[in-house]
Amino acid sequence: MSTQLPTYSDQQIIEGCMKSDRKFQELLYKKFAGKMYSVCLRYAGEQNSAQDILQDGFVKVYTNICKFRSEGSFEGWVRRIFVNTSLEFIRKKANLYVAQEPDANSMVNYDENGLQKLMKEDIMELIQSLSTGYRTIFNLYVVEGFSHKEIAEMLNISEGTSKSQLARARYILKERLETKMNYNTNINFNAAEL
Amino acid sequence: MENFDKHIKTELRDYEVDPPAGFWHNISEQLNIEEAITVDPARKGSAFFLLFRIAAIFLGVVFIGDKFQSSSNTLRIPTAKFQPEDLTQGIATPVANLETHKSSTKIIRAKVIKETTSPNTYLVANSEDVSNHRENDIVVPEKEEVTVTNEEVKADTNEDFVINDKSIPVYSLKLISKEVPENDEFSVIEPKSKDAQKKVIVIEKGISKKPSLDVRIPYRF
Repeated sequence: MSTQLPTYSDQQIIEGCMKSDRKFQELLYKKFAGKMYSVCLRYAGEQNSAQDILQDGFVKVYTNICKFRSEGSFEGWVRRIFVNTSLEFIRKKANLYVAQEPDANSMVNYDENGLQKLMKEDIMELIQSLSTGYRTIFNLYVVEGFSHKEIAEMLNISEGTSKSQLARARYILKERLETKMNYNTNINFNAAEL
Repeated sequence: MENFDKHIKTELRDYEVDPPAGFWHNISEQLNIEEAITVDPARKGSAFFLLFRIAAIFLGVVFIGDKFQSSSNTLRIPTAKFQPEDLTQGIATPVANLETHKSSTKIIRAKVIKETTSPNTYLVANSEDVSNHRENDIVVPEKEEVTVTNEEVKADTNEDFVINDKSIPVYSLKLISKEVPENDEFSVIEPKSKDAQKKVIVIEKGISKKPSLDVRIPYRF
């Protein structure tokens, strides 16, 4: 989404959007659509739902932009709207806590160097492969940086549940990561043999 | 564990995925629908205040009109001042207070003491007690009664009333009732007088005309 945007500051774009000027609304869309779509994909897990969230999120941004108080970064405010929209979508459409995955206490060894080699798309794919509950808590804690207390309030669960779900999410991710790295290594090895 | 979280956060925090082409048009269309449905609160508020202003103006006009009508129903005749020593000389001539045009007449209410056979004629007496006044009660000047002779009153003329003519006594009457018909008449008596007599006063609206007074006793208001 790095198209040639006219040189408008965030403040100018915000003021234009406050006047419901389509030109500035489109500028805001072009500026944040890529990042926010990736947020939606991380929470939704699939494209159709992510696009629904993206559309609802932008409409919320435009209709609530007068409430932005410039106390934090504008991007942070926009991101928070998309995270909340994603959570609303998940509450409506999905069952947050369904799967009982393997015991999180059992350790899985993985190669950190291998993790470094993984592409962003691979990590994204791994996170999307998690069940809704694990994916949500992992995103909120690891990527967005919320505390367990905040997550518990947002999802109306206990802090203990949030911690245990995160541990299980990590376990599954590492397990799948190792599988993926082995798969990639085998591919590379076979490619080298050829 | 920290490295794992940190690496994923670093990789994904600013990760961008392009939405489908033309996705902006979907959002734009939805915005058009939202804006059509949503009523602008500012416009809603201004419409309310517009209605409020119209109602306030209407009430104001009604109030002012009522005040104007009630004031026009009150018959006011400028009073004339007179000197007390004039009373001792037998004939008192009120002096019109034209300079200030302020009424120096003290207004009291008269109390109906007897209703005569004539439907619009009432016998009234001076009194400060107004607890039982009727709709057609009148107010008359207090303590400013003077005695004049019949010769001084030339009634039943339609000539303009010349208030500068000091030979013509001018008194004030304030009618409490708003609906006293013109040319109505009422009778008053002086209860404290030894020879209580009555006189008839005919009401005329408009102070530019000389009031028609039919004085039957040497006492008038």
